[in-house]
Amino acid sequence: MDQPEASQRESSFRLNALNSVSLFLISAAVIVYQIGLMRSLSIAKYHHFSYLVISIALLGFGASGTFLTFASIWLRRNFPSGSLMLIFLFFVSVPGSYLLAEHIPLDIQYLLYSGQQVLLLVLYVFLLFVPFFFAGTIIGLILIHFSGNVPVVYGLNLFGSGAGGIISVVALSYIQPFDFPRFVAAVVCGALFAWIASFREYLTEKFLPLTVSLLVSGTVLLFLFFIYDTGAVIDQYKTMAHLDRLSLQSGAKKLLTRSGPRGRIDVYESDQLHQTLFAGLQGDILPPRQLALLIDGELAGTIFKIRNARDAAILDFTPQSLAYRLIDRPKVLLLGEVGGVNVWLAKRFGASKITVVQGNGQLSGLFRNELSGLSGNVFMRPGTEVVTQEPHVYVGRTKEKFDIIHIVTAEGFSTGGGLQSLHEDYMLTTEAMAKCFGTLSDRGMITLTRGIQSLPRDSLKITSLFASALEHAGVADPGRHLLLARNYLAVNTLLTKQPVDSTVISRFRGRAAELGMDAEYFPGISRETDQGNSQINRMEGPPGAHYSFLHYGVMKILSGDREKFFGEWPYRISPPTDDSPYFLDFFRWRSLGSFIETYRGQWLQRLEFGYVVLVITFISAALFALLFILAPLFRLRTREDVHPARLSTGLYFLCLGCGFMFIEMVSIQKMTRHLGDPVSAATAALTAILVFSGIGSLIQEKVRASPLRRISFAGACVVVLTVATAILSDRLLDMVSGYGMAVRFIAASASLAPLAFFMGWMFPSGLMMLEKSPEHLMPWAWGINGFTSVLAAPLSVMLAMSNGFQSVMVAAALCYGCAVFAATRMERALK
Amino acid sequence: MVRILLMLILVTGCEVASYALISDGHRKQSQQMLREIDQDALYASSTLGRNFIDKRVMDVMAKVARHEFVPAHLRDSAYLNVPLPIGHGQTISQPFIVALMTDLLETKKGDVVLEIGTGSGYQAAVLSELVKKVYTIEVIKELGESARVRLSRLGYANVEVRVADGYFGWEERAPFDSIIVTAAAGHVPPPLIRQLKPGGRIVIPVGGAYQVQMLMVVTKDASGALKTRQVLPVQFVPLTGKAGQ
Repeated sequence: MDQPEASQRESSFRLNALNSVSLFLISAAVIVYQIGLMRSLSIAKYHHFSYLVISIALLGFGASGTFLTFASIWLRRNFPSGSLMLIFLFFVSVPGSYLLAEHIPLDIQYLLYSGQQVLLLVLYVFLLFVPFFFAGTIIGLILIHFSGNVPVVYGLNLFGSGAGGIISVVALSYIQPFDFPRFVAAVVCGALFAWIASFREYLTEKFLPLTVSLLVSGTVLLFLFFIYDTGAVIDQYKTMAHLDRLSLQSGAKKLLTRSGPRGRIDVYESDQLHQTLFAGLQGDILPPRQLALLIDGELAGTIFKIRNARDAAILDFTPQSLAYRLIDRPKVLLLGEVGGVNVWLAKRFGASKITVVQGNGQLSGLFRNELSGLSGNVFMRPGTEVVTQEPHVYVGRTKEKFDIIHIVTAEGFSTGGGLQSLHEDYMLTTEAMAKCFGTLSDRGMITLTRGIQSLPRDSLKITSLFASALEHAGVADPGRHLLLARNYLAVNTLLTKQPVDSTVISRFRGRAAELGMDAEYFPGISRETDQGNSQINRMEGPPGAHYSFLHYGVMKILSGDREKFFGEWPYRISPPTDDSPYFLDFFRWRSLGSFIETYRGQWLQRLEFGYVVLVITFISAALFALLFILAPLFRLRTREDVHPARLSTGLYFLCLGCGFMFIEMVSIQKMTRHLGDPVSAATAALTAILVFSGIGSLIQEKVRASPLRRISFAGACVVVLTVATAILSDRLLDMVSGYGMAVRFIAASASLAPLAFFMGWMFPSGLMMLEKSPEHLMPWAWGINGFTSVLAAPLSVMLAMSNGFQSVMVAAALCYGCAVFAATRMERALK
Repeated sequence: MVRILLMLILVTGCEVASYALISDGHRKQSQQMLREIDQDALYASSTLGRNFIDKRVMDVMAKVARHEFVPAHLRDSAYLNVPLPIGHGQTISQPFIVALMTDLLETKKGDVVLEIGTGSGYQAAVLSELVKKVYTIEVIKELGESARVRLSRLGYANVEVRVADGYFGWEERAPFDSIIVTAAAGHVPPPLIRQLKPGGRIVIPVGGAYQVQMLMVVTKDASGALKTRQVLPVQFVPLTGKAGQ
């Protein structure tokens, strides 16, 4: 019997109610901190920092396993003082590292040009990593110390994490994300006190000085955290920072700020806001006075500060007005309208009824109350109805028919290299667009406007999406249902319910010309007569040709050469589907070399590099994980006591880390389709997986079978259920799509329950196999699991973007199958 | 009086000496910058319609001391062909983009030019060597005022700086032979079109803030009719200040 094991058995430090509460609080706190950090960095910095936080958190947990491999002997010998110190360090590091990180002078725009900025970013990442490292170390140490109670400890950890997810979503409605660190610190301080209370020897002479000093300093520090302002520094290049600067010289005024799980809302008033919704050069009038509506510090919508539609005359010159010029007194559906500008547009053209569908309930509430007067009561006027629901969910449920379906969610300038490409968009998929088509009246049309690009990609992808949706809906010749025109700013694409006839074409061409727009496509267009040198807004075209690349691409998409064209075009423009709903992902590896060669200094501007950022995240995560997790662990190979079970143990926990993360990430992404709101989706998926895994962890212990048999049984179940979930869950959840949020939330959570239940068997059963093994195998397992979790998070998104969610689920099933194989080898080696 | 005069001479002398010294130190870097601008022009020829920047513009790019327009701690990087931060969330544009936009204006010696987005004043300094008069507008007060002092100190007497919202142009000084907007705009502001002379042109990056914008040339013919041409994608900070690619 080795010494730590002996010390544990001899120690009176056993798992009890108080230290269980402490573990639960620590597990909840780390998740609340993670979600708060993601939200706060989305506001103060950029959305892609959220991905960074996920990787950093996993890295912290992975590195803790490595640390435990080396330090566990000492820590187990000194468990009472070691565990207390670790909880205290976690407590201090939560607000401490956040405050220090916020004071680093990072200049995100100059990372590419400055080595100093790269070093600052590394320091920034390191500071954010520290609290997760301490949290991972204390949880891992508790798991190792109470190795006889692995299922209970693991279950408490999962329950705590699940509770943390729910708490953070609720808390986001009441607490600013910037204040999360201090509240999390208070929770961890509570965990520290509970930990002290759980072990009476902390009050004996041996530990009393440590206990008192930590209690006193903890209380004092907590008080300081609450009186010190933890507000974040908004990145100088964000729209909010600009408006704040203008406010200092009386050029803008902040009217309100609201916090919520879907983002922070800020509204500013300024005479220096001049949005016109792509109005063309014919619009020789000034736009009305307006307000800027910011979500997470970036412009999300414009509010015209007007009293009636007469004051919105600038909108008559927009490309969006084209559809309204073709249909009299239309019944209009605005999908994703935020500030009400498109409501004014519809009103100017005499819409008979306007239905606005908008997913953010907090915004709808603001327009009913605080912003009602400032926005001319635009959403509350007779003939206007507001539905608070995600647009893609609404079009799947409504039985109404509309004359104009205006997809406002997709409206905007091209992101260009946008990290938006990593976001799922279930509105712009073949399936959702086919549903929109089914919602059109006989004279109806879908209208979508995107900023112009060179080379074109958004508009070509919209064309391919519309064509694919039409085919999905059984239309044989999609080209007869499409119209495209552009001004100097944007391309307007129209999809009509009925094939367009010569009368419609004639009206379309006439109205487009009135707006100073060039017709890029209509059925029967001739390059010679219709695309001549008379372009008002000249766009780049094929060498020697007098027509634009946009026209060229649209004609190719509508021809029999579509697939060949998709293969040749430098950007990914094939239509997105519900299985891979990434409309803004345009990146293609094969184009990278030619972009650098052709555009040299400008290649980055030409390349849509959202996917590349993901790859960079993956590579950086891999490098950091290698440095902090794997390399130190492999150093153990030089020791004499390399155990034969080491490889199979590593493989087993590697497979579990990968498989678990794949299922978790895909579940979050797929739930967005059913629940609409990404935050609800993440909460439902994470809570279901963590809680049911926790239940599985507790139940598996009761099963009268060896750990290997339990692993084999659970592994087989996971493989079958993963495949079944991949195939059936969408169909099952579609059956409840007509019900309210509560029912859909419960159904979504329940759909993951069986799979999560058996996933929860695998980790504790594996650890129980190691119970009698040499001491370093358990931290090795914890470290390897952390390492693969770090890599699996970005990897699953990459796989989903390139091959779809089904492929990620198949990969997860393979991982679990492989884990069962590794477990059999592990048992043999351990014997 | 004599003491004040002596001090003035001393201060001016020190500044000139320091300017000359730094200019010598940066000459090689400046030459390298010009070579890179030439190469960028070559690679962008498919969209520019030609593979070089006008010699007049290149001569001026060689002449204007870019290091005077960047923060002191970035002087060593002043002649790199990259944009640099100048504070307040604003940047000084990449030299290639400055040269390209200047070239696209097709200025003549007697022209009166309006610039929207003064920033550090570098673009205005380049233009001042090519035209009769440059009017430049900056929305951020601190930037506008420091640019005014800097341009005056460096002897660019034909540049006038105003702190205001550039969207409305400069009605009192209109019309202009050409207008250059060195900040991302959601559209071409109607007041700028009105203040442009027939036969004139506007060079402007159009697109969303902090996204990739399209650099455009808007021409107004003798009858006042407008046409636009896309040039190439660029990345500028918003029309609330100076830009960088």
